Formats: sequence, structure tokens, C-alpha cells
Amino acid sequence: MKSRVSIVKAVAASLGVAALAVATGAYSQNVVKIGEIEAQTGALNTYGWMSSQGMRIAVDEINKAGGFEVAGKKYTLQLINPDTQGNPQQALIQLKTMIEEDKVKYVFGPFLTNVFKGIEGYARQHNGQFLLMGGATQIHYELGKPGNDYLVRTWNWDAGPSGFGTLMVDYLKKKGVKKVAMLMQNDAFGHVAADVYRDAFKKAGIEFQENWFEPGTKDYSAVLAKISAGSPDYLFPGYTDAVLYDIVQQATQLGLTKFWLVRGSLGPALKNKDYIDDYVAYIPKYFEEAEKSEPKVKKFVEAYKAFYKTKDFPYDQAPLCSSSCYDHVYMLVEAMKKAGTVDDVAKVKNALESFTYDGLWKIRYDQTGEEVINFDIVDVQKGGKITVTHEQPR
Amino acid sequence: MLQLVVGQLLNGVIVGTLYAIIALGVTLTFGITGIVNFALGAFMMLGAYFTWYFSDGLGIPYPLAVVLATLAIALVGLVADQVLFRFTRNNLINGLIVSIGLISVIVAIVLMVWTTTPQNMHYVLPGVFRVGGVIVPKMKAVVFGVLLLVILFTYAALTRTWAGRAAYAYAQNPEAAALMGVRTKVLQAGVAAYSAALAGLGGGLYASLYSITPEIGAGYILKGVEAAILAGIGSVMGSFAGGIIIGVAEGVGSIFLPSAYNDAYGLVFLVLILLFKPAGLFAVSSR
Amino acid sequence: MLELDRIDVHYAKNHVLKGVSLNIREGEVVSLVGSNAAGKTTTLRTIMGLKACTAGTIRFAGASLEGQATDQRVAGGIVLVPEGRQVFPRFTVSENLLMGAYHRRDRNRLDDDLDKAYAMFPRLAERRGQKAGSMSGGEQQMLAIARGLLSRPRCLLLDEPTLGLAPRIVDEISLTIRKLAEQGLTVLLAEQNAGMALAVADRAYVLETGRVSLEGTGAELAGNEAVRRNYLDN
Repeated sequence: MKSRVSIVKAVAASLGVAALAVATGAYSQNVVKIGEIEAQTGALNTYGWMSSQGMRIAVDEINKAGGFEVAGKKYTLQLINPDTQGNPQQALIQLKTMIEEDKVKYVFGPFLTNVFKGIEGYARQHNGQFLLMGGATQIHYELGKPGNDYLVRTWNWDAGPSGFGTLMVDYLKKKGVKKVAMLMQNDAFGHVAADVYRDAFKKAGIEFQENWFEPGTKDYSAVLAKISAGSPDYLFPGYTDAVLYDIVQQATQLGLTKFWLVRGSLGPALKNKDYIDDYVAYIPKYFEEAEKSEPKVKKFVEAYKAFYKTKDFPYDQAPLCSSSCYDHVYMLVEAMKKAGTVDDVAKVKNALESFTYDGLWKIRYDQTGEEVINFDIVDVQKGGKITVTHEQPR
Repeated sequence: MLQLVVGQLLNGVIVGTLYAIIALGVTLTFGITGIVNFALGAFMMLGAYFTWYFSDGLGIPYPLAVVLATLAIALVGLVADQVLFRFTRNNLINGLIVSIGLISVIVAIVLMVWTTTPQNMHYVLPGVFRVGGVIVPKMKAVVFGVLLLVILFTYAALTRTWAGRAAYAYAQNPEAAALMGVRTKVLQAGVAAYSAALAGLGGGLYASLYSITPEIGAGYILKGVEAAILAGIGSVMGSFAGGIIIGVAEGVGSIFLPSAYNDAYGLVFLVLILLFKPAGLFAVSSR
Repeated sequence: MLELDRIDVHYAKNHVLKGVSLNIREGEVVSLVGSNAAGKTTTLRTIMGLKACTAGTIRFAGASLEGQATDQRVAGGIVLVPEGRQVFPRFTVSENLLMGAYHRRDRNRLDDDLDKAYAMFPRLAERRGQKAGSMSGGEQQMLAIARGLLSRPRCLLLDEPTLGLAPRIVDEISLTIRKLAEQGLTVLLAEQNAGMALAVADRAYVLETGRVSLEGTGAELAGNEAVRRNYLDN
């Protein structure tokens, strides 16, 4: 003989428990946390900034659309993306917090090799507990090694059968080029680049001459004069915009007017358009053109402007969204759906490597876990005329 | 090969003149206020940024932008002198500490306003001169001409005007100069402002040749101090010679030796010359 | 013309001048005699404003010098020929002389003054293009005095002009001082060489460890027993 009072008490008690459950975040079971460790500010933020910008938009869109469904359950995304400022020690602390306190299983980044080296040891200790998907050069060398199952590289590589560099060299060969002079930073990455392209040019039968400069150089007249004396067909200048402006200006003054490069924007070409003859650049995507011809790109540009409430779109930075950025969030969600789990990282990784995602880019991962994407070769000629060739690696 | 060497000789003279203008500021400051003002490098960088901002940001014609930037930096140098360096006269250690502190502040402000991304001025005077087989960019020739004129003007002012004579006298014997009625404080402030202006002018001209970042001052003040020591404190034409020596050494040296040695030439010359002439090549006073 | 009234000067805790009072009348040659470190140089530097006094007043031509910077005192007519000559070594003789006239309004019309200087010091005339740093001690002293004269002093302070110089030069300097006095210049001479200083002076003071111990005419002090014992060679 339950009285009315005791029924009311029971209902009140249940509501209380339910409220408590909500308050203590028991519903966090339906949130998938993803982390990002990139340099968003500071001297080294060229790569991390765009990744971070794009990722936020993707997470926002997915959640606004009501989340996603995996094995019958609905989930939303929570993005945890502290700023490493390019500091390895800081990044390590941030990663530890993500893994141990927030229990994050999917971390994007880093693009910076020095940061990767700082977190590598810790990451290996937690092999099997999470996925680290970053664009750093050093990651390329660690893929596939025992104990590195956690590792995925979210950028393409210059060399190898699907390497963009190889296709770039072929482009030059088609122009009948016989001799290329490289002028590269005398640092760790410069030597990586030299190693890759020495082989590539040799295979293509193009004479390859190596010249080095110290980071921080502003006046290149000595080495450019030396190079010019050897009459190369093309100059292959350094790997950052910071040096390209000076090199291109000074090179054109000394009669070197043809350039071929695999890192850097079109800025130096456009500034010197009246003095160059040819400027061939690897650009993951030439957004100015893609915006008009590809609906997904147009949509992304509009989404960016709306999300950040701005009329400006960073065209020169946008190509870097080819790494750990907008597409990669969506691709991860697809992988989770395919794998039928949000927790089993091994299954998700297998799923990730099993299909091609068609977003802003067509992305797939090769058997070592390294990204392969379609890209553009942008050719700027004297006067600023631009020709874009779309490449799709096999 | 000959063409290469001649080309680098010419380039070295031009680049060396940029070192010389900083060296001149260093030597004047040391001779009159008794400290090495490392902040002259930061003033040079600031002069480059101001010139770029006036010219490309505000649309002011380049020559006027350089003049305005130079005046602005002279003012900055004067304020820095009266607020900070006034308390470090003849105290090398304190002068060093204060100038390093000032450098940090200036670099931090520039980083905040303009970030670390290199900035490039529009091309003021594109095109090159061809002399024999040697190529000299027109703007570099102009920069050389302007700096040479300023150095000669400074030399003339020091030897032919009353203010210059007073400065030169003070550098030789401060107390005797005071007894002639030279107003020490005014002289020191004036030299501080003039040295800053020289650095600012150097920066403004630098901006027409190369991209600018907040770090460009560091290399220049180092080479400027090397050139000043090499020449011997107090000599105007000596600073010019010192700058040229370092510039040419770097230029010609980089033809034959790997690029990694570039910064070493200045130091090697410095050591060699100081071994044989401890007061420098053209020293004025034994300060 | 120049009055020091109970001047105290300290170098940190060191009480270097203790209540020094001097009176130099217009047209006089007054000598300040004393041994090394007695405070003679400090006295002259304090008059010039190169050192501040901790107590007492200095009056020149009736007006107090308080608050006046060195360059103002020079412009007012007090000129110091400092200890050790202090010529500008890289300047020539004529450039040194020009610097003497730096503070003058008419500094661009110096021909008369330069002629007078070269007339008074013929050896300087011979060397007018020579760098001062390469001249002998005596020549530098002449130059320093001539330079001081080009400042158009009303009162000339001389600090140890004979130090380290040969007797022949000492005599020349004595003669020069008397000549200047005859022309009406007021002179305050600080000297360790008491014999020369007392001979050339109208009046003199003896300074001992920062205090004025004796005062009188040149002749009086030269005859004084204590002075003869401590400062004169006989």
C-alpha cells in the first residue's frame, strides 16, 4: 500500500539522481575529446596556426549538425587545443594533461620536429592508448618502427612512389631542364631536403649543384654570383618565405630568373613578377582558383569568414590546411564510424588507413601511415601570369 | 673568377658602409659618453621599420620617409639618453646592462606591433648597373652614396664647426673642454641623438635593400662595434675604414670559404689588428 | 674681485677643505702655497665649479657663483689653466688656442687675440701647425696659458704651472705672470714651488691640510720663519 507521498518521494529521488548524473557529467560518455598540440603563436607558428584555425571550424560544424553516430550511439566532439608556442617542454606538459587527465585518445600535431622530439618518449610509453597524427618531418622517419603504432603522419612526403617532390621534378624535366642549382639553409631540415632532391634529380637525369647559406643571411650576392657563373637553368632556393623574398630579389638582379621550389608561398614571385621569367611552386592547393572552381573549397572559405567574423581569408596560409586541419577531423569521424568504435584506437587507425577521404583534399594514408594528397603545381610567369596544374599521386 | 672577386669587393664596400655608419655612432657615443651603446642596433632596426611603415603603410615618398624615420629615431635616442643613459656616463658595465635592457624592450614592442613575419618594402629603385661584367644593383649604389656623404659630412662637422670641435676636444680631454666653456650635458645629449640618427638612417636605407625582421639590429651592432674597435675609438674616417675592411673581408672570403665562416672574418681581423696595434688602427684618445 | 668665504669641501667622508677664506682684489697676483695634497687644486676646481662645496660661498665681482655651472663661470670671466697643462693633444697649437675662445660671442673674430698670443709666446708662433701632443712640457705650459688667455679672463687661475719644468722655463713663466699682471689681469696662482710663487705674488696664503694657516704679502711670507723652514729651500 504505497502512499502518494512515497511515490512522489521516489520520483523526486530519481529526478535528483538524474540531475546529479547530468551535473557530474555522466553524459560525457557521449563526447569524443580530440586534442591538438601546435604552435599557434610565436616565431614558428607558420604551420600550426592554420591547422588550429581549420580544426575549430570542423568541430563546430560537426557539433552544430547534431554530432555523429557510431555503433548506434550519438556523439559530439570536444576540442582541446592549447598553444605550444613551439616550446617542446610546454607541449609535453600539455600532452600529458590531455592523455592523463582529459583521457584524450586522438591528438593532432605537432608540425614542428623540435616539439615532436620533446614528446616522443612520453608518447611511446603510451603506445596503444592514443593516436598522434602530426605533420612533422621527423615523424616520417619514425613511422612503422616497432612500438610506434600510435603514430600517423598527416602530411605528404617529397620522395617515394607517391612523393610530391618526384612529380615536381618530372614537371621540370618536361620543360627540358638540364641543370638545377640549389641554394639551401645550412641546417637540419635543409640537409633533409638536399638528400631527398639529390636523389630525385639524379634519377631524372638533371644536373644538381648544391650551395649552402647560413640561416640569418640577408645578402646572398656572393653565392648567387657563384651560382650565376655556372649558368643553371633553374634555381632551387631555400625552404621558407622569410628567405625567399631576399633570394628571389637578389637572384633576379644577377640574371637568375627561373625558380623551382617545394616550400613557400607565391608571395616572392608576385612581388618580383616583372623580373622573373618562371617560378614553379608546390602549393598544396591554390585557393584563389580553387575557391571559384571547387564548391567544397568555396564553402570552406565562407565558413571561415563566418566563423571568425572577418572579410579576410588567409589565402597564403590556407594551403597548410592540408595537414592536421579541417579535413582530418571529418576523416577521423568517418574512420570511427567505419571501425564501429570511438575507444579502440587500433581499430580506428586501421579504418583510417583503409579509405580515401574526399574533402577539400583527397586524402589517403599509405601503408606506412603517411598521408598522400592531391596538390597543385603553380607556375608564375613574367608579368604575373599563373598556370595551375593539378596533380593526383598514385 | 676575377669578376667574382671584383664584384664581391664592390659589394663588400657597400655592405661595409652600412657597418661603418653604425660604427660611427658607436665611436662617437663611446668618445663622448664613455659607454658602448648596444641599443644602436635596435635603433637601426627601428629606423628600418619606421621607414617601411611611413613609406608602404602611409604612402610617404621613400626619401621623405627615410628623413622622417631618421628624425624620429634621433628623438628616441635623445629620450633614451636623458631617461636612461644619463645615469651610466663613463660606466661601461651599467651602460651595457641598460642598453641590453633597452634592446629587449624595443624588440618586444616591435614584435607585438609587427610580429616576427619579415616585411618587405616596395622596390624603390629596381635595376642594376653593369660595370664590365660586374653587376651592382642601383639601389645599393645609392645607399653607398648617401652613407658616404653622411660620413664625410660628419667628419667635416667635427673638424670645421665649433660644435664639432667642441665634441672632438671633449673626446680628447673632457675636463679641459669643460674649462673652455663646453656644456658637457648638452654635448652628450646631442651626440646621443646624432648617433641614434645615424643608426636610424642606416636602418632606413637597409629597408630598401633587404627584408626586415626584429632581429636585424643584432648582427649590425656586433659588426659596428668590431669595426669601431678595429679602427680605434674616436676616429671618424677610421670607422669608415673599419666597416669597409669587415665588409670586404666577408664578401671576398665567402667566395673561397664556406658560408659558416662569414661572421668570423670581422673577429679574425679584430684580433689580428689589436695584436699589433692595441689602440686600433687610427685611435684618437687612450680612453 | 674673487672672495671665498669659509669654504668646506668633502670628497665622500674626507673633509678636504676646512673653512677656507681667500680674498683676491682686482689687479692683484695672489699665490696659494702649500705642499702636495694641501688642497690647492681642490680650491681652484671648486672656484671653477668642477667640484661642489659643502659649505661657504664664493663671490666673483660681487655676485655669488652659487648655482652657476662651469661654462657660466668661464663666460663670466674666471678661467683656469689646469694642473698638468691638459692641452688637446690631437689639436694643433692654433686649434688649441681656438678652443680657448669657444665660449666667446666674438669667437669668429680672433685675429687680434691670436696675434697677441703669438707675440707673447713666440715659440708657439713657430709651432702653430704642430700637434700639441708632440710638444715639450714647457711648450705645452705656454700653450695652456695662451689658451687660457684666449678665453678673455678677468681672473686667471693657474694650477701648478711650473710642475716638472726646468728652472729656465720656471723663470719664463714667472716673467709671463708679471707681464700679465702689469696689463691689469687678476691672477690666482697655486704652487708647490713656494720660492717662485712668493716672489711673483703681491699677496699670498699658505694652505696646510685644507686650512689657511698663514696670510700676508709675498715678501712677508718669504721672510717668515716657518715658511722658510717648511717650504723654501734655504
